Amino acid sequence: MAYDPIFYLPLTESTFYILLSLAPGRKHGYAIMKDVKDLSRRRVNLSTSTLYTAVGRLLDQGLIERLHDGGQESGPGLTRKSYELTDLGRRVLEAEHVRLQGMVKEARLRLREGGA
Amino acid sequence: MKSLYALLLYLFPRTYREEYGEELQAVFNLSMDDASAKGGFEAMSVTLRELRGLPYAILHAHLRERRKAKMAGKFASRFDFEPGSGKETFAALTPFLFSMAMVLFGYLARHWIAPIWASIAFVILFWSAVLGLFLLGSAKGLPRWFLPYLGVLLAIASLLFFNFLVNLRLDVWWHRSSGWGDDFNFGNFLWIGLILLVFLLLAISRSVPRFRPFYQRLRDDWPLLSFLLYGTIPMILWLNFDDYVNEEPFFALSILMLTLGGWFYLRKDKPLNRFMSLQIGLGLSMVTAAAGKAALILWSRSQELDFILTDELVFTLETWLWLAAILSLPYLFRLLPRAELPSQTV
Repeated sequence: MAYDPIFYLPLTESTFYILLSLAPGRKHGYAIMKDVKDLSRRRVNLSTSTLYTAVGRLLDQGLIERLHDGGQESGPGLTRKSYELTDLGRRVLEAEHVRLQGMVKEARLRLREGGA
Repeated sequence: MKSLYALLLYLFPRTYREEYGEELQAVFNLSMDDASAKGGFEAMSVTLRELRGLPYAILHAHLRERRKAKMAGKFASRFDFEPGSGKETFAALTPFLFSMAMVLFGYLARHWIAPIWASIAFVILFWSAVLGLFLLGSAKGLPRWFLPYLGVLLAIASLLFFNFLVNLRLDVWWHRSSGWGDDFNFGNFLWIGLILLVFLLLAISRSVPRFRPFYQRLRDDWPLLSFLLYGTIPMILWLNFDDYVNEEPFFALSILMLTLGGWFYLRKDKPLNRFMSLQIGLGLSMVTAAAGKAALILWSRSQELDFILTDELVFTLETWLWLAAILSLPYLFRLLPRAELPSQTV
């Protein structure tokens, strides 16, 4: 497994939002699903199975970890498992943030030049 | 809808279901409860979204499980050849079959000038197959089919040992000193070296804890060691046919006889029958070699025909007797007192 965050970039939109959703702290599956929908302004609307496909992959890559004691948000009828970013996951998210920032900066400059 | 989703979860691989099934169902239930509270349209939208995502997720989960199984080495179980099966027979007889193929290929290449790429491809194929099966047999804990491969190694080691003695000029010393050379040819040290190596192999497998189960297997089923030693014979035959021209058809036929002996060995149940299969294979192989040599000498119309013929036939007979004796060595296991050894996996 590669431990250099650059290796994991660029992230897909859904992966980026899942990691971003976990940036403030641990969450269970349903909370991630809702958060991703809100963060993406309803553009990324994950189904349960798609969410867990991504979660499985992120667990395999070591970007998130599973906690069996349940998060603070677990409620009645909810399975007591939650997810949290690993150090590597956080570094990957930060690296993606820097990459996106660079892209936005370049785009802004070029668009200004074109508009001038 | 929740019950239907529970049923659909059975389309995921079992291990995936055990890992995520409960969570998938719980999250789906919450999504449906939330959507239902917002009205029929939202519930329909969530249902469609869930059904749309399922086929890809199921396919992905199956691929993931397959990949995990490969990484865990489960795929290697297909190489656990069942004793007596065709695969085991093929794997066990590969050193003989490939030696035969190499000899014939060399003959054909010399007479019909095979293109260089064909020769290279054949040699690469030969060594890849033998090396691949050798590594597999080592990884699989030295199964029965692997023993002739160890025999090939033993033959190479005994040749190196013999070569070492010759390099020390011990052969010259042997023939000069006190007339021993008249009664006992120095060439017989090849056999003595082989016997010493067999004892060394047994001593190592007896004393190294990791290999003790292998030693115990050899003791419990003594013809196994004979089968291991049987693997040395193609190399010995090669030495026997050294200095001949156009010997390949007879050489290949001799190896074919050995292959037949090995084939019967793998199909017999009783130890004595298996041992006899090897001895008969060896006998047929040596008779073929002797007949081949006689034919080659007669065709060569040499000046010293009678002398060479007698000398070569005596040499072949000596080889046969030595090999027959060496193949019989494992029978001594039956005379040893039995001792309990800790069982471990090799």
